Amino acid sequence: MKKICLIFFLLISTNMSIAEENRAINLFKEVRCLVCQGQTIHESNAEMAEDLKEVIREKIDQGQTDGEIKSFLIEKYGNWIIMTPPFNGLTYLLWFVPLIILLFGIYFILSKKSHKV
Amino acid sequence: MSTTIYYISNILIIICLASSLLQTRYLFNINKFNNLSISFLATIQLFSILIAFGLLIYLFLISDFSFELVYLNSHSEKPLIYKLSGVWGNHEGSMLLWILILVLFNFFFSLFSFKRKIFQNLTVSVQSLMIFGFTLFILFLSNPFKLSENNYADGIGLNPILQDPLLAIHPPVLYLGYVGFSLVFSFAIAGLICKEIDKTWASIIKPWVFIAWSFLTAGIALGSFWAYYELGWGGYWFWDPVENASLMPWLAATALIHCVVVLEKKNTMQSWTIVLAIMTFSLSLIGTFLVRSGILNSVHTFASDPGRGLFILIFLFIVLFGSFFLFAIQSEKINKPDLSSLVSRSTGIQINNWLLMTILSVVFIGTMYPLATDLFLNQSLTVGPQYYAITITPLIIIFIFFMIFSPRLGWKESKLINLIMSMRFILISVLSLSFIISLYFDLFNLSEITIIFLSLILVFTSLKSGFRPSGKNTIIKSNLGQNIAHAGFGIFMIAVVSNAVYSKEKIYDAKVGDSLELSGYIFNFKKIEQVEGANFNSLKAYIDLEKEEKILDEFTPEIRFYSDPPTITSETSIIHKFFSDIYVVMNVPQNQQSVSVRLHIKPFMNILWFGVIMIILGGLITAFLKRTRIDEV
Amino acid sequence: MKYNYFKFIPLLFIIGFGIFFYFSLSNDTSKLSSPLIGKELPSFTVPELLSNGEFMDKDLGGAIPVILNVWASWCIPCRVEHPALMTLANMDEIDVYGLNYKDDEEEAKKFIDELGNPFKKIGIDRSGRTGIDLGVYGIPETFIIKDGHVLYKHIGPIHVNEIEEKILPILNKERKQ
Repeated sequence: MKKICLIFFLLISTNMSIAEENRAINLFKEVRCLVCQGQTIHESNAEMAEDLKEVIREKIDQGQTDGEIKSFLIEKYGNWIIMTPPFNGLTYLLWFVPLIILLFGIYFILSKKSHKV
Repeated sequence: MSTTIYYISNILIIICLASSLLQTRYLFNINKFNNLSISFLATIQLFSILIAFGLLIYLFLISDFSFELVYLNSHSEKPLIYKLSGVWGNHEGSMLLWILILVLFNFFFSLFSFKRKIFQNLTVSVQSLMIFGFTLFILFLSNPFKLSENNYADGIGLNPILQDPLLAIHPPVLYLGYVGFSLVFSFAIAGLICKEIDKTWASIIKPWVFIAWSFLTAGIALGSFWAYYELGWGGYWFWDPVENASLMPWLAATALIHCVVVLEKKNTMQSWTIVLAIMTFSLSLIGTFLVRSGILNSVHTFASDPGRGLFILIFLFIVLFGSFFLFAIQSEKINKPDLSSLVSRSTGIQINNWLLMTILSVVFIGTMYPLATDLFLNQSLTVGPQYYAITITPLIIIFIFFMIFSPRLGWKESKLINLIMSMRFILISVLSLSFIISLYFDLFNLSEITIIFLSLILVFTSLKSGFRPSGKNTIIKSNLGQNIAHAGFGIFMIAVVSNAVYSKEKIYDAKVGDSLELSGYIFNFKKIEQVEGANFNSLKAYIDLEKEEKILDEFTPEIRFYSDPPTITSETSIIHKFFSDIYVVMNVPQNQQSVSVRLHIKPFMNILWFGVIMIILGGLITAFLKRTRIDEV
Repeated sequence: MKYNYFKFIPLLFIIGFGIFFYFSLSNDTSKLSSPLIGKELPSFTVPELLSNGEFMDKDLGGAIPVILNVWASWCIPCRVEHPALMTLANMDEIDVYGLNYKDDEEEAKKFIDELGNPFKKIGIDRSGRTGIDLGVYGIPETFIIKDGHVLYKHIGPIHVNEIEEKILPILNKERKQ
C-alpha cells in the first residue's frame, strides 16, 4: 500500500510575497482535506492535500480572489470542502436557530420575573 | 479452558441481567421496601460484572486469541499496559466497562441508609432498568466474550494511535462522568414519581452531581490533552463531532450543578433541575449513539454497526420519551414559586444557564446540521471551527460578565444600582482599557480583548472572595470550591484567547544540517536515525533548540512504524516552557531528500491546563466540603 | 386533571429527532455526491498512454453514454475493480475510457499488460490536475458521461454485481432517450 515510488512535488513558492503566503495559509485552513476526514489541508500532508495547496497557490499567483478560489473548489467538490459553512439558503437555520433560542430564553426569564420588580 | 471461560462469563452477564430485572420491581410497587434485598441484588450485579470484567482482563493479559475480541484488539508482543488498556480500547470491552461503572454507582447508592426508603428504592430501580438495557445490549449485540471460529496464532493488535498511557485512563474517567449522571437521572425520576423535589432531594444528590461533573470535566480534558500531543495537528480542540458529543453533556451538566445549588439553598428551579438531569444523561446516551452507530464522519469513531446504533437509538428514545412524558404530567406538582426578584443571584444563574443552553444548541446544531442536509437535501456541508468561534464568542462574553456579577448579588433581591456603584471603577477602567488596547494593537480584536479583561476581573474577584474568611470562625468558606472553579475558568479563558492569538507555526522541508527559524528560536536539525522500540520501529530526529546562541533543549520527534496492525504514527516532541509550549512534529517522509517538519509555538498551554485542573479541583471540593448530613433525610 | 400542554412540546421534538436519527442510520455519509452531476464535463486535454495522441473531453462528448474510469497502478482497489471494467468493455455498445491518475507510465503499461485493457483510450494525468478539475478525491472513481454532461459518479471500486444493479440501468435508460 505504501506509495514509495511517488512523484514528489516541491512546494516552491519563492515568487510569493509574505502577504500572499499568509493569504495562502489562511485559505489552506479553510479547505478540508478530502481524504483525511476532519483535518484541513493545512494540517495534512496527504498527497491530495499537497495537490490542492499547489492549485491554491497557483490561483493566488494568477491574481484570483479568495472568493473565486473557494467557489472553484465548491464547484468541483461541493460545499463540504470549505470548513466554514456559507451564509445562504442552505444554512439560514444553522446560523439563526441559536439566536432564536437565545432570544426566547431572555423573553422567558424576563417575563417570569418582571412582575416582581 | 477457553470454552469454560466463555460459558462462565456469559452466565455472569445473564445473572446480572436477571438481577437487574428483578431490581426494577419497585417501580411497580413503590410502597413496598426491603432494604436487605435491594443491596443484596445490587451486590450480585456488582460481583457478576466485576468477575466478568476481571475475566476479560485475564483473557487480554494471557493473549487468548480464541476470543474474537482479543484477536481483533490485542497482540502477544504488546507492552503489558496496552494489553490492559486494550480491554476498553474497543467497542465491546468499553461497553462492559460502562456497565461495570453503572453497577458500581448503583451498589454504592444502595449502601447508604436513607430515612426515606422510597427515594432510594425508586432510584435503584430506575438505575437497574438502565443496567438491564445495557446488559441486554452487550449480551446480544456486542458480546465481548465471543469465541472466534478460526484458530489464530496471533492477534491483529490495538490501533497504535490508541497505544498511549493517557488513553488508557481516558475512557474510565470519562465513563465515571457519563455514568455518574445516570444516577442523577435515576434520582430525578424517583423524585418526579414521588413528587418531592426539594432541599433534601438536592442535598442528597449534590455530592454525586459534583463528583460526576468533575470526572466528566477531567475525562474531556484528558481526551483533549491526548489529541494535543498525539495527533500532532497543533491544537487541543477541533470541534470534531465526537468531541462535541462529549461537550454537550458537559454543558448541560454545568447548568445542572448550578441548579442543584439553587435548589438546595432556595427550594426553587425544580423544573430546570429535572429537565437538566434528564438532558445530561440523555446527551451522554446521544453521544454514545453518535459515536457507536457510525453516522458521524470523525477521526475518533471506533465501532460502526447500524444494528447497534438501532438498539441504542430505541433505548435512547424510551429513556427520553418516558422521562419527558413523566415530567409533562408531574411537573406542575413539583414546582415551588420563585420568590427572587429580577436583580438577584438566581436570575444571574438562570441567565447563565440559558447561555449554556444556547451554547449547547450551537454545538448540537453544528454537529447535526451536516447530517440533516445530507439526509434531506443530499448536500454535504462542513461545519468547521470558525462557525463555533463566531457564534460562541459573543455568548461567552455575556457569560463571563454574569459569572462576575451574579455571585456578588444577594439570593433574593439586590439593588442593581448598588452593585454597579460598587464596581464602577473596575467596570469603567476595564471597558475603556480594552477599547483602547483593541485600537492600539491590531493583533487583538475587540471581542478577544474584552474576554481577556473580563476573565481577569473574574479571576481576581473569585480569588478574593474565595480566600478571605468572612465570619469569625470560618477559615474555609463553603463557596471555596465555587470560587476556585470560577477563577480556573477565567484563567482557562485567558489562556484560550491568548493561545489563539499568539500561536505561531511554520512548515519546513528540512534536511539534516538545516537551521530552521521561528520567532527568535533556531531549530538545528542534527541527525535522523532508526530506533527500535517496544513493538515498533521508528525514525527519530534530533533537533536542537537554540536561542541567542545558546542551546536550550533537544527535540526528538519520531515517526513510528507499527506492524501489528500496520500503521504509521507521528510522535510529537514538546518542550514545555513556563509561558509557552514549543512543539515539533515530523510528517511521514515522502522522499529520500527531505522531511516536512512543522514547528509550533503555543503560548499559555501550561496555564490552560492549570485552569482546567482548578475547575476540576473546584468541583471536587464542592462535592466533599460541607455536605448536608445524609442521615437527616 | 389539568396539564400544561406546553410541557408536551418536547415530546414532539423527541419523536422528530428519533425519526431523523433512524433515517440517518441507513444513510451513508462517507460517500459524497459530486456537485458535478448534471453539469458540463470540465474541458481537459492530456497525452495518451498507449499512443502519441491526445485524450480530451471532446472524446467523451457523444450522444451515446460512455464510461470514464479514473485509476492508477498503485491503487489496490483498482486492481480489484479491473475485472468488472473488462466485463463492461466486452458488452455491446459500451465504451470505457480511462484516466491514469498520478502514476508512473511504465507501471501503468505493465498493469494493462498484466490485467488486460478495457479502455478505448487512456489519458495520462500525471500531476493530478485534471483529477482535481473532475473533483476526484479517492480513486477509483467512475463517471458516466453523455452529451458532455456528467450523469453519474461512482466512488470506489465497482463490484461485478453493481454493473447489473447500478451501471447498466443508467446506460440503458439513457440510450432509450
